[in-house]
Amino acid sequence: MSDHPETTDSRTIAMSRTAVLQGVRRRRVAYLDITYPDGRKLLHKVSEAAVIIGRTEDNTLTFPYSNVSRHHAKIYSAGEEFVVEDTGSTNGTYVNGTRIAKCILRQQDLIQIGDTRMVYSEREELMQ
Amino acid sequence: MSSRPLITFWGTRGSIATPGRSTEKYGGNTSCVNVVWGDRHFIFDAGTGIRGLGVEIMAGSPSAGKTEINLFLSHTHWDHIQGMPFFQPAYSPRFRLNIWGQEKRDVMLESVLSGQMDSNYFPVPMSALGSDLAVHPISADTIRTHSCVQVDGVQVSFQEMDHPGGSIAFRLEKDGTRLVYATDNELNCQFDAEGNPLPGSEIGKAYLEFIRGADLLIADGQYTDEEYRSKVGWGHTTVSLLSRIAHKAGVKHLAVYHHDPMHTDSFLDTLSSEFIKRYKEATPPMEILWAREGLTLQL
Repeated sequence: MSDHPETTDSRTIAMSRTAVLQGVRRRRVAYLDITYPDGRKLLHKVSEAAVIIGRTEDNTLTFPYSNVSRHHAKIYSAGEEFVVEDTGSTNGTYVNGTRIAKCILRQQDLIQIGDTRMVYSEREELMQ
Repeated sequence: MSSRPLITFWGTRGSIATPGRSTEKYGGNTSCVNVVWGDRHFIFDAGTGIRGLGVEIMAGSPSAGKTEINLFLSHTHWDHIQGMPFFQPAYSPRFRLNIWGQEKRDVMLESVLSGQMDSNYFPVPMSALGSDLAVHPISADTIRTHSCVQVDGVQVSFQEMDHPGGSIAFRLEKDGTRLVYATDNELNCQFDAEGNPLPGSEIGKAYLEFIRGADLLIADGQYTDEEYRSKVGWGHTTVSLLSRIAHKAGVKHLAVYHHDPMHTDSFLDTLSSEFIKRYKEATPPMEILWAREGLTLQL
């Protein structure tokens, strides 16, 4: 006997999986799990537009710290993948501790810009 | 021409392509590295990774005039030439493709390359390649005497290595920047465990000088110590010895390359973290990274 009677009212619908998924497309979406130097956290979804990162307010993500360049790096989709690219910063963009000019991102990559850390993740989403 | 080259890894796997989820991070394509210095391409090896590079070059090159590409082959084992027939610029008259590689004693480099495009193996013959193709054999004398050549303003020199059938390393130098590509090399047969050339090892002594002070050394580190015991004579090096020699030679950045097909991403993550930490704390420190597909570095 279930302690949760509301969950027992399930029914099987006579519909094939193909029919359910008809018209549904998948797309890959990416997330940045950001930890700021003061410990604050933010989860940022990377949409199809590029994420521009830098010290000034005209960036998608503003990291207002002296060791971050005005326009420091960008993250963008390239086909099926997401890429981080340094845009000529002074102090560099790091992926898993390596200073990069550009890097295709993979699950759980750690991106570091100044003292701000971002953990990259991606998953597939269904879209109508 | 920019004095700061961009280095992109297009294929990092050794021996055979290993696609799949477990190799997604470091990559499954076989050997291929592209160095862009100014507007020139210096490509090292034509493993399966060169296919994707070709697509990018086609998209990014001007439609008018000829784009010059230099392709350096360390040797002609499968995993270093198998992508060549899928390299789109080779088929296009918009490109001049210079192929540099070692001439074997009795086999012309061109015949080896055309051999893999024989109809028994591939439907399109080498004669169908529409680019302005030039093969530049590197003679044994050039390698032995450490002669260098100027290629588009960059000095290129060569070093013989220890690999069944032979393999050569390349060093690019310009404006004080030094980059070495040295894969398929069994350093364990030329050096002792401390990283000193074995008595009488001319290759070992010369290799140490060849890589000395390199800003970036991209080198074969296929095996762990344990794996190597059953693979002596197969022509590849252990990570532990490679890193010891590189540190001794004052290399600034070491990119461990030519990953074993059995090494999954999680295996390489574990292996790399141990060595990265060890050499970060060494005196002087040396940065080690594990080459991965899609990574671009700037020196």
